[in-house]
Amino acid sequence: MYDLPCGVFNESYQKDMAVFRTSTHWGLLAAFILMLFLLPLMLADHWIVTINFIGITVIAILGLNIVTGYCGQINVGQAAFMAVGAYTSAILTQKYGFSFWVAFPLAGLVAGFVGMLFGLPSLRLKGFYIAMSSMAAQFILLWVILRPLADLSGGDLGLEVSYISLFGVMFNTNFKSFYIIIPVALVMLFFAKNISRMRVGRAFVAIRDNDLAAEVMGINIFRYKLLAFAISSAYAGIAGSLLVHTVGRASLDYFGFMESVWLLGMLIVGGMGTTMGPIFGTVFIKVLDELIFYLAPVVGSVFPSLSIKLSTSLQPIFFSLIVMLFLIYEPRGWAHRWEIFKNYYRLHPFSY
Amino acid sequence: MYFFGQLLISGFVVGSVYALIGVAIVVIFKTTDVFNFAQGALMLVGAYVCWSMAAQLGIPMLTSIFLTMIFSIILGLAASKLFIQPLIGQPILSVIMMTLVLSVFLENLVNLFWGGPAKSYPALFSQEPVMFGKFVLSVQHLIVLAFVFVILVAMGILFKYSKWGLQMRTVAEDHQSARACGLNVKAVFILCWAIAAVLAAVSGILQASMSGVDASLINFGLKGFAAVLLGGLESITGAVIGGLIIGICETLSGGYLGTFGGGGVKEVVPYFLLMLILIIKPYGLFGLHRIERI
Repeated sequence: MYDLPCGVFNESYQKDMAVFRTSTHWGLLAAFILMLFLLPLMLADHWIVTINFIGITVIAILGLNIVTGYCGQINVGQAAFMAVGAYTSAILTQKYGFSFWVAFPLAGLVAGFVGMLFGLPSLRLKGFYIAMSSMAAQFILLWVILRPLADLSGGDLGLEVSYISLFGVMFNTNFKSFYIIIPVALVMLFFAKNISRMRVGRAFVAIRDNDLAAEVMGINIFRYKLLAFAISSAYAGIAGSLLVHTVGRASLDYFGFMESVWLLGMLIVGGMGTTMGPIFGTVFIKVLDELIFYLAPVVGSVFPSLSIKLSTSLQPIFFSLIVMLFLIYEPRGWAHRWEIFKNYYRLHPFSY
Repeated sequence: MYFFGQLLISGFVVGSVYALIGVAIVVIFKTTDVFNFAQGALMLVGAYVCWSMAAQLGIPMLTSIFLTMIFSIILGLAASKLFIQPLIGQPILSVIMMTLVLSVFLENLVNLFWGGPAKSYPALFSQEPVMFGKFVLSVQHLIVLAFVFVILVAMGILFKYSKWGLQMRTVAEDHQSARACGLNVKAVFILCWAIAAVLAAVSGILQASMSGVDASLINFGLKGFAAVLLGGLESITGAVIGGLIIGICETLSGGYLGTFGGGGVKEVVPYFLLMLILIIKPYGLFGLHRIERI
């Protein structure tokens, strides 16, 4: 339930459907994008890295949002699908000499196909069982990449990956990769928003809210669940591909089971089933992560006996506490808070 | 043939630990409808607390096991009271996520206090080999098997004949009607978590006494899920049988498929079985097939 800003009346269907309704909206959007693109000029390198990672993570979580937030199928293996995309593009560019711009969409496609494969049990199952299937996917996929495909993927050693190049420009610094990652993230955000508004997205929501009722209404549940898995994994694949090509190295360290839990946690903190949720959640958690990174030496000086392990353990502890607090006190995440805030200022002097 | 028999026997020992984990997961699921992904973390905490008391503080082993049990009961109480009960009525994803982050939380706390390389466990039982015809087993393995057997029988008796067991079965049947009968449903929830935490600590200590204790113990909790789904989510017998099957398959694949696909197949076999069972017989060997109505 939301209220329109004062003086805005949706007089046509087109206006009612629009994401950005007023000229103020458009102005704010333009200002935001301009700010975003000028940001790296002002920030230290460390923070540009953070923003790059936020961009990549947002892409993966947008996908997760489609399968878990909109379609209601719990996916605890998103990081493994990222790994599929990452290694697809790494192997295609390194071993077969494809250009990044060919390998990049292929990474999305292959990851989408693999995701669909692990969505197959959803033919007869739902809820918790799907979570188990994606958990199995996490471990099976990583093993397949690590062992049977070791000749291609480099096994434990990982794979050196070339940086992205476009029109002769090598995107080999954090500053330059920013201008690849953020536009891709914005495009993916645009698609995610519109998928959720399309027929497909509405079918997903129907399946989430009541799958039997959705089936009675003529929605082919199995097809749409598979589609949700495919889209979600394709997003993950794209994110994974971007990740290895900006870091310059493909390694399974980025794609462990814990990463999947983190992705799900960020989605919950941000708010499931909303477009802004993934962004809020990722930014919140990643920025907090940075603060904890600075906090760790301070805590370490208070408890010297723990100081070595603090750097690895403090972040997960804080992260899990935050997700717990959100689950208990605000299960709808930051996106819900944002809605409440918007309603508040729209009605500001007369809050009835 | 000899090799096969030997693998079968050690698979039985590994599987009995999975069976314990599986039973704990089923006990929680049956009564509270919660899938406890934190079982492995509870195991880890139990094993480390016991290790810490025995090896660092020098408390005799049996006393420290006893103290660990008490600690686990408190841990189970706290976990269910603080983290799980506020989520009653929330969608399934919230609860799954809660147990997942609880697992992350406990794992990293353990890492903070006791992290580092694997630690050898103080000798719980003698490691002397025992011969069965041609097959070798250590006394330790036999005692682990006996322990698991006793615990499983005790659990069966508890469920079937005690007042608590009756209450738990009632709550498992239906929360609302249990409440209408005057049962304290929340108390039963807490009881289940305490039982699961104790089972976790026992399985953690037993496993650690065989393999030493480090953070990889937490993976047993996830593999325990494979055992539970194989047997069927609602069935304790199923969890035991599923656990044994998973354990035996794991050691057999370790023995025969050691180098298949570049090695390490042993670690993922439970997950392959999990996928297989989800596709072929999703409700497990002994599970209830639920019929839904709108």
